[in-house]
Amino acid sequence: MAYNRCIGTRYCANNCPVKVRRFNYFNYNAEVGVGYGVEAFPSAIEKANRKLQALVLNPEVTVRGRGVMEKCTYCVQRVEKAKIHARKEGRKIEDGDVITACQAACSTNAIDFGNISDEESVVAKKHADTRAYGMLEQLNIKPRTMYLARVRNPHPRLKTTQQIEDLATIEAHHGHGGHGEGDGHDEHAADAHGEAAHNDSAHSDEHHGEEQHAE
Amino acid sequence: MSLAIPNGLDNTVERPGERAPLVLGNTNYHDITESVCQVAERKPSAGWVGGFLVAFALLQMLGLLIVYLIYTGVGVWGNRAPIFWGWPIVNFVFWVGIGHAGTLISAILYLFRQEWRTSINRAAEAMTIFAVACAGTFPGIHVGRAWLAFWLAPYPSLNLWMWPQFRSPLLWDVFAVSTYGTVSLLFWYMGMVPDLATFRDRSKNKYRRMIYGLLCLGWSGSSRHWMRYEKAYAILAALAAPLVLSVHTIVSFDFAVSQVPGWHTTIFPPYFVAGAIFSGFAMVLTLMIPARSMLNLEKLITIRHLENMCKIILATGSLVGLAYGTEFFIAWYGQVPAEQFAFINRAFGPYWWAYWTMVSCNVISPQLFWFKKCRTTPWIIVVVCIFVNIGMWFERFVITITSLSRDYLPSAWAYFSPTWVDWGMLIGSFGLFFTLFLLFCRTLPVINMAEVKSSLAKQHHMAHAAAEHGEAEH
Amino acid sequence: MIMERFLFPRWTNPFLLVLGAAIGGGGLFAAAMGGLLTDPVTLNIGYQPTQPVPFSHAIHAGQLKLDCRYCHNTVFDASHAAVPPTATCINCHSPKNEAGQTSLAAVQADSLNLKPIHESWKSGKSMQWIRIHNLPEFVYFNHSAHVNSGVSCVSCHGRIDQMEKVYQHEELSMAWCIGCHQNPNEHLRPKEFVTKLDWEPSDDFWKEHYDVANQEEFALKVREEESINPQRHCAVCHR
Repeated sequence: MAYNRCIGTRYCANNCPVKVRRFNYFNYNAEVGVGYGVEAFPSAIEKANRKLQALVLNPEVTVRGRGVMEKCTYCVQRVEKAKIHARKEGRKIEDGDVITACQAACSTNAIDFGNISDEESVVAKKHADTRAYGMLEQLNIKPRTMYLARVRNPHPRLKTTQQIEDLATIEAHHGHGGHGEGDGHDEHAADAHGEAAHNDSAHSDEHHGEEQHAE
Repeated sequence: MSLAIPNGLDNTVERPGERAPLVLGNTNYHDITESVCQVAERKPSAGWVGGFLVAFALLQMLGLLIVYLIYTGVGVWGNRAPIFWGWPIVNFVFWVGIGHAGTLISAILYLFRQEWRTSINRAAEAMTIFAVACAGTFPGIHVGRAWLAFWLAPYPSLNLWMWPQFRSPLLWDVFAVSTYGTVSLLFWYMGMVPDLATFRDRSKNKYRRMIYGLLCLGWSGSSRHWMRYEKAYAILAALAAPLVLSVHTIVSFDFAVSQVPGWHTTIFPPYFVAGAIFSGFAMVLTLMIPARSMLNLEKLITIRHLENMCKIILATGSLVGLAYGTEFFIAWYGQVPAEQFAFINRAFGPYWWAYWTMVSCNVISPQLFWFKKCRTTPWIIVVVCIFVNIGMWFERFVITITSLSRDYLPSAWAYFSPTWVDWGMLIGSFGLFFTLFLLFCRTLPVINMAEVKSSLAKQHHMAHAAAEHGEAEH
Repeated sequence: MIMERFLFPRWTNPFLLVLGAAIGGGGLFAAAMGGLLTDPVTLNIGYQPTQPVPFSHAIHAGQLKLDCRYCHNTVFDASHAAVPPTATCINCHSPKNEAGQTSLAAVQADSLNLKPIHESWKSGKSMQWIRIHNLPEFVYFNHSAHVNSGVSCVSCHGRIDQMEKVYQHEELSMAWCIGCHQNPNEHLRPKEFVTKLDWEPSDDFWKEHYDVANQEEFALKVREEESINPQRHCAVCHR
């Protein structure tokens, strides 16, 4: 997001089918030293306690002011940092260079993040997995975030008709064109990015515990 | 068929071979001038003063609310994820719609040579402009950072070399509405020039004469002036006619171009335009009927005028009803689950009350106009028209809010509740509208005297010809 | 009746000309104000504040040929090219103590101009240098990304080594940034010469070291090898 260009028509949020966008309806940073109008003048901000409070803000990210839209940026500040770091070392970005905040916080390691245009990366492999699915893919929104369907392994006799059919479809699919499924996903990834050659990165989540619509 | 119309004022009966008179009573040119000018020249009535004070107070409230809004943030409205667009957009579309009757009457009916437009076009055009002013209030303050709303306008910026997003319908909207406002204003003013000259010539004090003199641009009533005036009027009418259709088409793109189920439909442009004309005429009638009796203009704005407008309301109302039906048909026929759900949700979801208010007001109530008695009884017309106005506001509410409140992912669903600021701004926008309209009644010619006189001339001419014809036959 | 009309008298006709001139002139005035006065070239270039100490880059970087990195030592590693602490100055300009002795090198130890530096050294309070090249807070410029790709200091800062008093040499506007991100070739040079502001390659330099004919070909080659493809999407600079 280029927050400084956003005037807050909120049209993007209306159109977002997954409704991940959030809007700054008010100035939510008044307590941490971000002011508007008269409050914006340094004399008001420079008070010591406000300067101290402002330390909670990440200096690598723009403070979102009132009236702008925001969403998860996949920790773009960490992505850019990792890319620049890799450039200094004269190499391409690798798995583990970017650890997003959610990934760092997730105690069950359910989240992977990496470069989908690099076929050897963990995310690219997981995107190619038959279990991988994107949310609302039918809308052609080409989501970069993919989920892995829950794995179930019931006793064959306890399988529902649906499960048997699904399994048959998956196996037929696999037998058909080898890595057909996987290639399809890679193409998606490259499309969504456009700049596949330049160390761009992507994201994949994996939800083990949750009920997924795999059946 | 005497109905409730006083003797001598019934011009609604069709007599084959004869044009119905559009000016009633033994009215001559001077009477027309007198009856129109007295509206602005006499002392304001108590009713006018009271109405103006109320409207002006509401306008002040709107102003204060806007200051509060800009100072605090757009969160003072009820808009919350996922309902990012709330009442301000509903009000915007509602007012733009209201603003459609004026230009339709003055441009399209003019090009179709519909003589009956002459006595209603001025007030309808004024209404258009005031409605566009009300509409224009909302998009600018609706954005999160109102102080940067000028970024919607394409201007060269040297340090960025960046332009607004020309693929965004919101930008098309800026052009559509501002073009419409400008052309309507010019058209209205142009048509007023001869009448302003009449006002100037009748004014008894120096300042009035000066002001009207400047406004009428030195009109002398010479043939050359008339010739140029007629030409310019026809050109502006031709320019304005396509705008009647384009404005609401483009406003509908705000919705149709998006991918929200319930918005993403190709039917929106014709459906919106029909709805806009429908609501515009309803608003014209709502205002015109009390005005004609309070300002003693019954001989100029006759029952026939009202009846004709009722017919348009019936036609456009039925078109809108057809569009509601078509939406459901296409949702079923298209077999897109999200789309199907959106429409079922509209009618039977948590906003069923809004949907059925809309249907009963917009589709059912105008059906009364199949009956001549309803088309010719002013109070019935007013009641139906108020229902139509309410219904059309609800139409925009239903489209905007029910579609947003429940789209693809149930985890993101929510129910919208307006805040007091939402209410205040809706009411305040009526304050703005009525303030402007009441001022207009007192300061400018409410009826196009020049054109009414010319249709009176035609009427006399035809009556004369018919009389001669009759004599010859005998 | 006719006489009482307010019509525009004939003598008002010349005012039409005045009106026309006013509209035309107003348009021109607005274009000049909006176009030229707010142009970043007008607004930004040449900003030359007076620093608390009249430090001369022309002497230090030009005549004495101190490398930029002696003071701005983080430029290859961090997003910021550090403004040196007082201690860096003191390395050469340490003050005299009561006995008239200096602890380190004592170039111009008595100069009045150095007084603020010496005071800062004694009190421990930082020097209040005035920032010249200042980007808006929503722009995240990274020095290391640029110099490690072979973009010289001179591309953005001009010939600092010739400036007695530093001023802003380029407009540092977004259009200017994007111009270079679109066509970076002419700004690329071998990394070892990035901080040599007066560097001019000799005629056979390219052939000798890089086996290419000229700078243009070098740029293409190094971009290919190190995949230097400056991006122009928002997130490159805005986060």
